[in-house]
Amino acid sequence: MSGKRWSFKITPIRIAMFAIFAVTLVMYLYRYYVGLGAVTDLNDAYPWGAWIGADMNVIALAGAGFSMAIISHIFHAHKYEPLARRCLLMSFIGYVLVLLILIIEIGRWDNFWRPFVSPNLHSPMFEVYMCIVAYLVLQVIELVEVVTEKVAPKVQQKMQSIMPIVFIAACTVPLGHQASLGALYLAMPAKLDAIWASQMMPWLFVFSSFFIGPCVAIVEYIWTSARYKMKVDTDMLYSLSRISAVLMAIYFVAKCADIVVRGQVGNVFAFNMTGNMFLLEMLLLTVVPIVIHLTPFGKTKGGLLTFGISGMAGLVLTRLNVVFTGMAAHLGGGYFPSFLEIFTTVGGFCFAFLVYLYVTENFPFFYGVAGDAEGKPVGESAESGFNQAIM
Amino acid sequence: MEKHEQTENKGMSRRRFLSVMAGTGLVGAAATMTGCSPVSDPSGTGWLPNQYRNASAMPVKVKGRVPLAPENVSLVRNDEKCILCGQCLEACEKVQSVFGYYELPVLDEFICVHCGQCALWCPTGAISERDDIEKVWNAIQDPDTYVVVQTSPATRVGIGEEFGMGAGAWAEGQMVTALRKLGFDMVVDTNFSADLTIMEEGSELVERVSHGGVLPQLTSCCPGWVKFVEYYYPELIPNLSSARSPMMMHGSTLKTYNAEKLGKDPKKIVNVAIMPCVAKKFEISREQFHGLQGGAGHYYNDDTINDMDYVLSVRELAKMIRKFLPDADNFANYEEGKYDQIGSTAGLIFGNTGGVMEAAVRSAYKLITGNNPPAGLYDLQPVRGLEGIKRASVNVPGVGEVKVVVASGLANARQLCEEIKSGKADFHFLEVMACPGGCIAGGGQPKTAVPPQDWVREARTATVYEHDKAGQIGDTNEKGGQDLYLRLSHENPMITDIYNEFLEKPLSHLAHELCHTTYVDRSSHLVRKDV
Amino acid sequence: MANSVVTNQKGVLVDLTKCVGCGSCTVACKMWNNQSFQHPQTEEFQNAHGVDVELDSNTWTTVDHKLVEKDGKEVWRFVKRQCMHCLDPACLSVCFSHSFHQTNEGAVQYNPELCVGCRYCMIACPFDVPKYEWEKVMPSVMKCQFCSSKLADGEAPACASVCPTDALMFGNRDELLAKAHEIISSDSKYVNHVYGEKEVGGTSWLYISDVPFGELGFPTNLPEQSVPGNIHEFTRFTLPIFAVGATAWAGISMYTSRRHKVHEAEHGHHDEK
Repeated sequence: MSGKRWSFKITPIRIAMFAIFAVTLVMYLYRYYVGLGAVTDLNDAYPWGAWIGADMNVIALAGAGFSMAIISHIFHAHKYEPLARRCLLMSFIGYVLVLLILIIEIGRWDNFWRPFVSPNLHSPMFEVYMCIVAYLVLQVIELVEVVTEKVAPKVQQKMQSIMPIVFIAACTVPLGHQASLGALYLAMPAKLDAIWASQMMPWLFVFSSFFIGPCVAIVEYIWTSARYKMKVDTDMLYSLSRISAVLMAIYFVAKCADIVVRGQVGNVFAFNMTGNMFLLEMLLLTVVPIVIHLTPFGKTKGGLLTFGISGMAGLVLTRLNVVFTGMAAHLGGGYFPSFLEIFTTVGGFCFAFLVYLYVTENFPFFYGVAGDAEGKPVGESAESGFNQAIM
Repeated sequence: MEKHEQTENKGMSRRRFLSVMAGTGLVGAAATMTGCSPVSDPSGTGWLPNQYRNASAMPVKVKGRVPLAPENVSLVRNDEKCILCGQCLEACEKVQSVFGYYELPVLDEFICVHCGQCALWCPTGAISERDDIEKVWNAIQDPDTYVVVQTSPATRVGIGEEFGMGAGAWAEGQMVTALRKLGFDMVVDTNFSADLTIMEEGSELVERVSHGGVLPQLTSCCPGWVKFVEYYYPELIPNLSSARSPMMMHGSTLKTYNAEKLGKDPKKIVNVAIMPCVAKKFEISREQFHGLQGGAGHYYNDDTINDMDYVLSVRELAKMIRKFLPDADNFANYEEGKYDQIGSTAGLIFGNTGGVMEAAVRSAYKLITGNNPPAGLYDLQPVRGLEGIKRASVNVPGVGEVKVVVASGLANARQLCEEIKSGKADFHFLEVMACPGGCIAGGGQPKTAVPPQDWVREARTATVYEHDKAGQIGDTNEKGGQDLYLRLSHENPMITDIYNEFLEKPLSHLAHELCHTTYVDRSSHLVRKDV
Repeated sequence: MANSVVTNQKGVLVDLTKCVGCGSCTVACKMWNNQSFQHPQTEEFQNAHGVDVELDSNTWTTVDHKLVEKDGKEVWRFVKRQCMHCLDPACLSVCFSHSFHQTNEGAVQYNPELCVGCRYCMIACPFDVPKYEWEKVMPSVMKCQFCSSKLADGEAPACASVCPTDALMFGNRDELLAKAHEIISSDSKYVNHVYGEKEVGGTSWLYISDVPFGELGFPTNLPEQSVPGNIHEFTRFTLPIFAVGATAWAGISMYTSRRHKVHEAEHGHHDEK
């Protein structure tokens, strides 16, 4: 691979992010040297903390990869294909980020391979584990296919024979993955607050991570367009947001039904911490985006952006509410993430962001419709556009 | 994975990582993958006494240990040293009849009479007295305080054993010297207050016998026994002598009578007692001896004055001597120090089971008949010795047969309590010491034999009687440099003084305030098991 | 999920009315398992019995001193805590590397060799029993092992063997259960509930008490269904999800693809709007 065309513009913010990541690596070594107890606030009452919370969210948002793939590859809505590619990239980086966090989160990192030789098929965690591994492999294949399209067309052609299977698999594995993340909490029916403790949780997890795909895609598209000063195809985004909005409405109904059937209406409207957090979650994840979508504002760039961000924030809240808010009453208030936990999480995100910038700037076909990006390497104008966008 | 390599490379230099990697290296991985999955059981790497390695259905008789409240004022237990030998429970249940004599479930207290037999039986020293050395040392170091120490009769035949002097060695003088070396401002003798107790308790007995009071009268010197009655036999509380224990009489009179004589501020006086006992630590915590309810506090109408401040067991005193006196290993050769007070050998024999009875009989005889007792009452064999229950009768002219019973060990006392309850008791006076053999084998004495054995008890008892027989309490006295022989409490000149100068007469109003007390019914803290 | 491996289900019946709080069981546990009395994280010396004493990786059983109200009076009750050894254990079912297994006697045993350290067992345990060696560089999860080697030798577990008041009765679980019901039905002071009989599918350790279990710190909202049973309501769909999902996607994909082609053939070249 020739390095000539590959470049990485250095800006102060990128230097800062790189520095944070470098410090994070040092912290990794320190954590491996002294153990979990010395550097985290995790304790016997709170065995899962900020790192798990971050993982749950990253995985949920990374659902955009499979949901956009399903929309564009399975339903053959080809107009969304460029969006699906970007989501695939983001999703892949997200999964790498999850691995990065998990490898300091687990206590016996040297034993990470044990589940392969000593599997417990009944554990939702096993399903999570196998799905992460399988999906990473599939994503690598998919990415190789995308990259070789321009770099090594011959390889790409040879891969075509297996790609349909890969696509189908890559759209199936995350179903199990997202669902099993929800199933993790089926183990605590008496600990998790009753508002969330539902047998429907796995399915609600899959469903929400699916319809959040368009939200992520829309937000990323608008941001990248601003970065490269490209025209935003609001019509295309609007039709994409419709998919999300319809599914959100179904989710809303399903969630309400779940609450009513389990007799939790009183708890939801108790106007206490848990009730309010649940209302906020529902508001951001469903009500606000749906209302935006139904008004003319929903067709504007600002409206679409708000739609996407609200949905993403709502999704983050659904996961955090399960990991923290819903468990708080049982676990008590004995945990606040330590500096190292917060810093390494931020460092992980810096790493993910840098990789994303590096890849998109060196493989321009990840963004824009094929015609826009083709043969147009990253130019000065594009970068300054980017700089304006994020600084 | 990139991260992995970095970690390993940088970490390899540390031994910690080497051991980690060695344990979880490729060999282990290969072994696991080939099916030789290592199963390690993290449990069962220690040991248990053999009695517990039994078939599950087989009942084991000696097991467990006594329940001990974390806030117990007398006793503490270090779980790290406990080997679950079961000896403490044997002592508590079989010797003292405390554990196992209340119904389960328990109520609001850990039932304990603080006798300390468990501590004596404990082979590893897991159970020991609550250590008050620090507090006493701080009081000594405080220039503002006037620290008075009293030593119980039985201490002088125990302390020597801690310094290699043989069982029952007489070490009164050495102990007094050591106490002075430690910096106590005044060293007094509980034998004196034992004499005072005889005056009060003996007068009370005469009062009861001659005026038809509640009989039999029960002695109240032993705080373990007193608490035992309060727990299990509250109906016998009227039988308990209202006289305080010698230590508590001493405490209140030191802060009143002696404070005035010495011109000391009673608030600055710190009363310390060296006791063969750990229940005494509980006794001083009784609210009847605190502030306005107490003797001295009531006398001065001052809520801040307690009759007694600290109690150290003989074991603690020995520890203190070793810790603070550089020449502690020369203890046996210390010069023979003198007390600042004198007590009769009638007070001294309080240390033996039967001693209170014998001393009381000697003085009661005088109180009733006006004459000193005949020779036989100076050697009242029926109440001597280690037998658990000893019965005797004394012919007192004018009164007739006075039947007395002596018991040591609360399980023995329990039999007599049942006797009294059932109306079968025909005796007038009952002496009980919680510890078998009396104070000379008290829960605070040196652990010369574990579990406590009779040859040690016999040696200490013999020394006490030997010194009583000699009757010699000093080779000089203020009145003429002659040896002083004193075997009768009522002949103690200092006792005469305190009544003449302060208390007026036994059972006077002031004597009631300073030398008597009240008891509390503790039966609501347990449900008695019918025996 | 049937536990075919458990052929000789043992149990311990704890009669909380008989416990005097001596803490012998906690000492026996430490002795048999060779554990120090230092708190693993704070390194402070601590007895394993007392007010608010909690389990930790170095303390597999505690006796919790509880001052509770009973008939208008405050009374001490002493609650022994340790792994309940569920008949269908949550820890065993959620551990993705099979670090837990049951012995013939029903002891739920942990094998540190296989542990990845995800700590899912800790959060999944309905009784919050597994504790972590946070202070260690290579930590393990720790909990009561039901003295599995003693049980295999026909001996009672260390704690039950030393109890001076027989508050801990060791034996076959079904016999103990019958005995528990016999006791509570013949003595009105007992709460009419055998804790552990049905909670989360039943536990090897059973408790009877004269004070409601909720006041003694027992979780009272546990379902009768075991945690694995609850999870299984999802995991039984695992393979169907993949099978149905993959088939559905393939079908839809072929259908939409064909429709596109037909559409293109009918309307000439692309018009995707």
